[in-house]
Order: sequence, then C-alpha cells, then structure tokens
Amino acid sequence: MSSDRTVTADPLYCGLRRRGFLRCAAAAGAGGFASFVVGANHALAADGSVPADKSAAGYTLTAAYAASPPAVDEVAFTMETENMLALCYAGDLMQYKPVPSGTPGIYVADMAAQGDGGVIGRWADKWESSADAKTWTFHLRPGIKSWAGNEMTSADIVWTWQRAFVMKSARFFFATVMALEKPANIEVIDKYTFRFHLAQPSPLQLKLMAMSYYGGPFDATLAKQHATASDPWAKDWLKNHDAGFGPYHIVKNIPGQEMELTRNENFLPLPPIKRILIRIVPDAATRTALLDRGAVDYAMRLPERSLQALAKNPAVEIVRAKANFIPYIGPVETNEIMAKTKVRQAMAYATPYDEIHQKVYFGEGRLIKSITPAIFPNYTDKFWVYKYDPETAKKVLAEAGYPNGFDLKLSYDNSIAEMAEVAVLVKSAYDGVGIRTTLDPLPAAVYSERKLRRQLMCQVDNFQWPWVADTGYTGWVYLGNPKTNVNNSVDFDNSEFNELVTAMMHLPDGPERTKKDLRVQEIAAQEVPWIFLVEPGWREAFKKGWTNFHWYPDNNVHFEWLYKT
Amino acid sequence: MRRLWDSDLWRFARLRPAVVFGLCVIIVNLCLAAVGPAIAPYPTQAPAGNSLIPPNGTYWFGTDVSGMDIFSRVLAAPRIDLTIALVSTVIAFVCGVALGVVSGFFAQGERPGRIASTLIMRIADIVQAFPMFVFALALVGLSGPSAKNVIIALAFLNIPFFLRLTRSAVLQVRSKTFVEAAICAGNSRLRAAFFHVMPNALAPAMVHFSTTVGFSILLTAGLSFVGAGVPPPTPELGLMIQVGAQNMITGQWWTALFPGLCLAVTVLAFSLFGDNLRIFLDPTNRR
Amino acid sequence: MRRFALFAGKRLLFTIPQLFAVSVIVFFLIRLLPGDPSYMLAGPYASPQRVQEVRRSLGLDQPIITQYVRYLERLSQGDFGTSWRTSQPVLSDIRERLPATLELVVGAVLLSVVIGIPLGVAVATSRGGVLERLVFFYGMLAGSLPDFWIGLLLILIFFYFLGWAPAPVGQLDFAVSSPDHITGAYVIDALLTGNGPAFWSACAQLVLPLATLVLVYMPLVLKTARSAMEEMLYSGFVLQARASGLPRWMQIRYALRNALPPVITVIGIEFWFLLGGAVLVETIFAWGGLGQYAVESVINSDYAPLQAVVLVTAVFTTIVFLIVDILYYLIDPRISV
Repeated sequence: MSSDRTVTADPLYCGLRRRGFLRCAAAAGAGGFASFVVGANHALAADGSVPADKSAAGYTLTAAYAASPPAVDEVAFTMETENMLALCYAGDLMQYKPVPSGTPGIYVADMAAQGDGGVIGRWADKWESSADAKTWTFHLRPGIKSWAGNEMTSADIVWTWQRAFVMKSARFFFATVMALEKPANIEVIDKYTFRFHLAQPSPLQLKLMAMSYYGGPFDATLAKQHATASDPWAKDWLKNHDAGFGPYHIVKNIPGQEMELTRNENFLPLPPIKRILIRIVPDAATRTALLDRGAVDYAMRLPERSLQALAKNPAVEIVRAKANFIPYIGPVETNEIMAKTKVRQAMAYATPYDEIHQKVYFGEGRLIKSITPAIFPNYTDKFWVYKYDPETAKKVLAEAGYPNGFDLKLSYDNSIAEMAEVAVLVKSAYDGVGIRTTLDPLPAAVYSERKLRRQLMCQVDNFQWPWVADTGYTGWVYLGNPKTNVNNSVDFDNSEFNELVTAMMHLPDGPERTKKDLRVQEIAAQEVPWIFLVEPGWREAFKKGWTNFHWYPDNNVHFEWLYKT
Repeated sequence: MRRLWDSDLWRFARLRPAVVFGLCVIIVNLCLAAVGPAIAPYPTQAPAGNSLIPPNGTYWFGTDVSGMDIFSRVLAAPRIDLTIALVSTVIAFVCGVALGVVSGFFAQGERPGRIASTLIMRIADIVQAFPMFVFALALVGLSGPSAKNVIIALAFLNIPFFLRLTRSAVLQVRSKTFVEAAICAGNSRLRAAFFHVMPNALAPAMVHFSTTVGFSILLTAGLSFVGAGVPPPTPELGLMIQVGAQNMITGQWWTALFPGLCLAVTVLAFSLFGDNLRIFLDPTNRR
Repeated sequence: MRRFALFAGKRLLFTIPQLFAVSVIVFFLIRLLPGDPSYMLAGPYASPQRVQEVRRSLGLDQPIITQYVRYLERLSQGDFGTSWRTSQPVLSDIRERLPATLELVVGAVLLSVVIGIPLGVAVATSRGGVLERLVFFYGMLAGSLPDFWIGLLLILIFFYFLGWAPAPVGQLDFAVSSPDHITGAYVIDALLTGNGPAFWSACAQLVLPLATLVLVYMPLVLKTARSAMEEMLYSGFVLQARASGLPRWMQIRYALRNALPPVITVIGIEFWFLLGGAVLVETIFAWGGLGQYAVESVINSDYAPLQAVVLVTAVFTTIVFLIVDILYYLIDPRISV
C-alpha cells in the first residue's frame, strides 16, 4: 500500500485510510494554554500502520532473549519484565504518535513536539481537561477486548488504580507524580467515561499517560477470577500470567528456558505476527552467533561490537533510531570529594568522550550534551562546554584543591558489557590526570542496592531513560530533591534546581515554562551532577526481511507492528 | 651444587622429559611472577592500541576488545594467578597439615584426644561435601570479586585434602617405635607429634601441593570467567578468556586462545611435576 | 551380612548430622554475605518505606538466628523458599532443572566409564607402544585444560566454522517443543513418549556439552583404571596365576576384579567434580540446569535458590560417597569401618 508511506509528518494531516478507522487527530491547542482541550482520534496514527493483507499473514517469530522476566507484574524491574508488560498490556490511555524516522521502515514516537502535540489516544478516543489542569476526563473507545474477550470499561481502569495503591510500586509512584491522592478520586461517569480529580495541576498528564512502563489497564474481570480470599488482587496469579488488553498473551513460560506468546485476536489492528517463540540464551556471544547463522529472527541486547560484526552479514539487518538513553558517570555527592563542583568539572574535562564514542560505540549514536535527550522539546547543547582536555582538567583539579589528584573508586554493573569497556577507558584517562582510579564491578543486585543507598563513590551507569518527553520531569526524577526522591542516586542537591523542576511539574506549557526548561539544562551543565557520555541510539538486530519497526521511549521492540516484506 | 647434580632427584628427572618440561615451565612462571609486568612491552591494564588487532609484528598475541596488548597481559598474569594459587595453597597446607597431625596423632589413646580427632575428621567430611566450584562461586560472588576473597575461598576448600593425606600418613608413622621412644624420653605428646611424627608424614601433602597449585589456578580462572574472581582489568588468565570468549564467536580467535593455552600449559606443568614427584617418592611405583 | 548391616547402618546414621551441619554452614555463610535483594526487588521508583516493606516480606529484617530457625521450619515442610528471579518456589525450579544437570553428569560419567576403563585396561595390558604414548599425553593434557575454554573451542570449530553441531541454545533446538514431562530429562522423555523430533534434537544438543565434559574429566577414570590395573598385573597373586599356567584372559579377570575398588572411588570423585564442573559448561551451552541456576542466583543475590542448590548438591555428594563406601566394602571385605 504505497499510499500508507506517503503520509506527511504533519500532525494535522487528515486522510482517509483504507480500512476507514483512522481519522486525523483533531488536536487543537497543541502547545497553547489548555482552556478546554478536546482530543479525539482513533487508536492508531497515519504512519507505520499495518497493511490489511499483512495482518492476515500470521507469522511466527523466533527470538533469543538474555533472561526470563522474573515476573510479568510490577514486582520485578528488569528489562525483560518491561518488555513483557509492553507486549501484554500495551501501555496506558495515551500514546505518542508514530512518525517517520527518516529511515524507511522505521517509525519513532513523536516526542519532539511542543506540549501535547505528539500525543494521541491509545485506549482513549476523547479526553478533556479543566482550565486548571486538575480535572481530566477520559472516554474509552468501545470495543477494546482482552485476549479473554472482556471489554475494557471504566471498572477496569478503577480496579487497576486501586491495585496500584495496594502494590505501592511503579504505578503508585506515578500516582504521586500526577497528584492522584486516592483511587476514590477517580470518578466513574459511565461505562466508558471516567474523571481524574487531581490535587495539583498536572499539565504533563497526557504525557504521563503515554507511558507503558508500568503495564496498562488490567482485565479486571479476568484477574478477579483468579483472586482468592487471602489474595484479593490476584498477586500470585498475575506474577506469571497476564490479564491484558495488549497485542500478545503469554501461553507458555518456563523460567530460564523458554516462553511462548500468541496474539490477542481481539487486538486492533490485528498483529501480523501470530506466535512469538522465545528461547532464553544468557550468553550474548551465543545470541549473536544464532542470529548470524539465521537460527533466530531476533536477538535481544547485543553490545555494539556484535552489531558491527552482524552488520556485515547481508542476511541480518540492524535497526537504529535516535533514543532517550543517558549513559553517564555519576559522582555520588555523599562523598566529600565528589561533592565539590570543581572536582566534577575537572572529571568532565578528563573524560575521553570521543575515544568512548569510537571504541565502545564505533561512532554510532551521538555524544550527549544535555540532561534533556536530543529528541525532546527545548533541547539545547549550548551549555555543555566540556570536551576531553587533560590540561584543563589538571588546572581545575588544582583549583579544587587537589593538585596531586585523588583516589577514585568507579563502580558499575558488571553484567553490562559496554559499561565494563567504558570503565576501562575512563580509568586510563583519569589515571593520566592524577585521578587514581580503581574499578569496582558489582553483581547487578549489589550494584542496585549500593546505588540506591548512595553508598558508592562514583558510578558508571546506563539504566536511565526518561519516558516523559519533558526536561522538568527528567530533572525531577533523577536529579531533584534527594531527601524525598530515592531515584536521585547521586545525591545532587541544588536548591534552585529543586525549585525549578518541582515548579515545572505543575506549570502548563508556555514561555515561562520554556525559560525554566533552559535554566534547568544550564544548571545541569554547570554543576555537572552527571558527566554525560554517549547516547547509542535504539539498536536491534533482526533477520533481514522484517519491516515496520516502531521505536517507543520504553526502548522495547513492539512486535505488534512487524511484518515481512 | 655437585651434590644436587648427583642426587637421586636429578637422575630421576633427567630420564623423564615430562619432569624437565614441568620444572622449566614452573620456573618460567615464577620468573614472570617476579618480573613479568616490568618486562612487558606495553601497559598491562590500559589500552595500548586499537581494539582487536590480530597477532602481528607489534602485538605478538594481538589486542583484546579494549585495545590492551594480550602478550603483555599474559606476561603479567602469572603474578596474579600464582600469587593467588600459592598463597591459598600454602594456607591450606599449613592448616591442613597441622589439623591432620593432631587428628592422626590422637586417633588412638585417651578419650578427649579421640573425640577431638574424630570431630576434625567429621568437619572435614562436611566441608568436602560441598561442590567446590559452586561454593567458591557463592563465597566470592556475593562478597565481591577480589584476590583476597578468592584466596580465602580456595584455602578453605583445599584444607580437607591436606588434612586427610597427612592424617593417614601420621597414622602409619605413629605406630613406629621411635615415636614411643620419644615420648618415653620425656617429650610431651604435642612436641612428639609436631617434631617427631610430622616431618616423616609430610611427603604425601608435599606431593599434593603441586597439583593443588595447578588446580587452584584453574579454579581461579573459572571463577573469573563467571565474574566472581578478580576485578577487571587485572591481567588474569580466566578473566582474559571471559572477555575474549565473546570475540571468539565473531572470529577473533586470538583473544581467548592464547590465555587459554598459557593456562593449560601452566596447569599441566604443575600436574606433571606433582605427579612425577609422587612417583619419585614412592619406590614401589617406579618403573 | 550382619557386619555389612552394621557398617551401612553406622555410615547412614552419621549422614544425618552431617547434612544438618551442611545446612547450617550454607545458611549462615550465604546470609552473612553482603548483597540485599530488597532494593532490586522494590525497583527504581520505590520509596524507602516500600523497600523496608519488601525487606520485611523477605524476612530479612529479623535477627539472623530467627531467620535460621524459620528456614529450618520451612525446610522440614519441604519449602525451600521462593526465587525472586523466577517468582516460583525454589523446589519447583530445582525439580525442573535437576534432570537437565543429571543428564549431563550421568551421561558424562557413563561415557567416561565406558570409554575410560577399557582404554585404561587396554593400555595397562598392552605394555608400551603408540597407544600408551597417546593415552599418556592425552591424560596429562586433558586434566589441565579449563573445561569452559574447551567448550568454547568446540562451539567455535563445530558450530561456527563447520556447522556440524547445532546451536548452543540449550537442551532442544529452537522450533522443537519440549516432550511431555515424565522424568524431566528430555532424551528419556522423548524416547518414552515416542516423540521422534524431540528425541533427535535432544540427542544432537547433547553432543557438544557431553564431549566437553568427557574430554576434560575422563582422564581421571582413565589414569586410575590404568594404574590400578598395572599394579594388579604385577602383583603377587597374578604372578602366581601366570606361573600356574592360567590363560591370559583369566589373569586379566582376576586382576580386574581387584583393581576395581580404586576405580569405584574415582568414579565417585568424578561425580563430585562434575557436579561442580558442569556449572560452567551449562552456562556456555545455555543448558538450563542447576549449575546455571546457581550462577544466575549469585549474580542476582538471590539467596533462596543459592542455599537450596548448594544444599542439594551437598546432599547428592554425600549420597554418592555413601554408595561408593558401601560398594567398596562389598567388593573388598578387608575394609573395615
């Protein structure tokens, strides 16, 4: 269907689709003040959709994963869990609109649009907000069915949020972000309509609801069938089974060995891939070899080195898109040396950015120059003045009071190959300016624990990618208010920064917000709480022949779009 | 010097190329442990060139994924591997022999001695019931990779072997008349145990020493391979194999092959030496 | 018979306190090590209160003695705890994985015995020649080779370059579904249920890992068989048999019978080595057995599975040694308690 491909990227484009169920996003007020914002559209956008004949194809895809998800509920937080949650639950009420990335066959979430310009409905087909952004009303599209055949109604939404307050996990965290104080504050208006009553203005509400990090609405009818008197929220059953409205459904799960997913026949548009067979292959080199030999369609989590080698194989394609990763070196400010700004600045001058970019990432991706990912709105690189300059580093180090350098312990999660390579390069560069570095690779669980307890001296990390396309949110969640925010693992405590990011969470879009946005980026560059490294981009390795890849800020592969040319 | 030349040991060794080979490799390793890092042409813990260069004139064994020269790291590796293996084996030897002597000496005689002796044996049984590798993995993996932790784990796991060997030797020697004579002459029991019996019961443990060193090197390499050994970028053979293993699949065979070969040759040398020492010391086995 | 009963009884009786002591050591050693999974479990968005809640639910906030007592209580009911990584009870995790490890270990021991003993005997009785040289070199070399390195080499040569062996993805190839569960060992299950494709796939997947283990661990059996046999052949009673004019095969038979005890011991030792050694091979071949489970548990600070695996392997080893001792006693009546 060539007409599918010629759709422009203009969010206001309207065109009739072959299947007739895609109409334009009549989202007025994109970027303006929200007086009465009414949004209406159908589930999917114009770009990167699935042609009807492909839906009927019913492919089988074989995949090699690095590990099993410990659970498919918000009790586990590995990448595999996120991946399964995205496939089974597909995310919350809204979504970012897919737009062409510039590479044929690859579409990306429209995160660069100002305000809510890039956000469209996923489960919701109409939504409105009050003028003060404290009341948000959503209307569900009728006819959304889970794999068990139950239709999504307001009851499912309410049950999902009630469960969140019991689980006190990721979804609960976002309830506090949006200032939803209790599940009773969700007012059910009718079968498909409900209203959030928030305690504070939440101008980011639509973007928060565009996440799929914490799964999506549960099929409450199905879940309740598996609840017991002692387990009214079906925690046990939902650990290993899904009750979702998403495109796929788990039929087999042998932890550590294999998984099988089958498509939800009620999901629209019908995913072309009917079966997904997953085999757990812990060793990255073996996964690479499997793909190389054509034994699998997809191999997960391969380091850049393997991807470069695979790119030479004509039967393999490497899919790339700009993403929101922020690998960084994080001096932890509970340590008195790391707490000195000039020390951090010296380290920023001593870091071999280009060498890391070339040797670890083979020139792919781009250097990070701001706390805000380059694909987010209001991104600027003008404040990041640092480049590899050992002489300046030594000078600043002396100014900081350490003319003879100091001893540094650099910790990282040793299960991530690229972190280890980065650490080795950083060590030899730092050794050269007098920062005597010892490497401290830690097992994943020990690393998580020490990082969150702020017990490390300095960490090299890549496990952060902000989901919400907003500087304020990014700054607030990772670098703000350390006393109340556990995620601020480097203990960065700058009062102006804290004020700005907190204010931005409740400020609607406009010139005042943009001013604060830039100031946040400026402080992040001047105070250097994080020394930014390389954004490697979203990169996945597939057997050649698959197309229609969609990048979403969760950085998972969304199999529901894929089909074979 | 003359005496060494004419000694039994040398005559024995001369006839067996295996022993000469083993001895040579061990001596080379010991020398490298002493001077290896100093004579290495390139830095051993920092990149020396581009990554993954195949073996050529400049980099004899090629470079690994971080650009470090493999040949230099192989030269520096014996210091780490041998230190860990020797220190842990020495600790295991000293503790194992001491416990074995006590256990064997007091195995017959008065009640308290017998109880102590049996207790020691049973504890050794229990320690030996653990699968060596998994236990070392647990000990080191959870407390963090470091040479110190590996040494402790290995020493702990090797004590029972030395204990048993010494104990059975002591049991044999104990019944000899010279021991009774020593006690009659006024030596205390403990003194008799350690000054009269022990020197004559050391042989099996000493023989086992060499093989244990070899085995410890293998175990250290195995632990490093799963990330529970020494921290990177320490030049250690198992760690080098782990890093190199990923590149083997993409065709860069030199990254894991050379460290693996060196590991095999070193362990082989220690085993050969130990094995032949046993043959040498046991006349009935001589052929 | 009565002596035997006494002997066996005494040994069995001692095993119980031995296992108990093992459980104590395992528990305390692992619990006392650093690495608190609560943070990882609670996830990156958890509040400090939530982390405390998780710790409480795992029982990690209790004093260590209390934790041990509760551990024993649960153990006596067959509850080994839950792995946070698989969200399953550890017991069912182990039950799923143990057959895979046993397949490798038993297979390797069987092959070592079947190949190693005849080879060792042949070398001992043939006196000299090329065979002896070759076997000698192989024996010396193989014992020094790291098993994980050999495994990698075999994959590189036979899968990557030659394409003869299937991909190291575990016990079955990709498209093949697992056979119905009877014993848990895929080869046997496939055979019993007549599942052709699964059977051949399972056998094909076994080739490389077994080859790795056998190559590295068989020399132990080989050397012992050879030296024990040699010793017997030159011993007094065989000399006597030869002098009396008995045929060669009879001499060998007598020698063999008496050479068995050390061989049996070494088979027991080989089991013990393999239980530990199979760990790395399992990881390389994604075998999904107990060893791989143990490695992953260490990396993820997953206490319950680690304790269970160490305990299970220790129990196994103790049983194996017990059997070895009993067999030894049966074969050689001179041995006393």
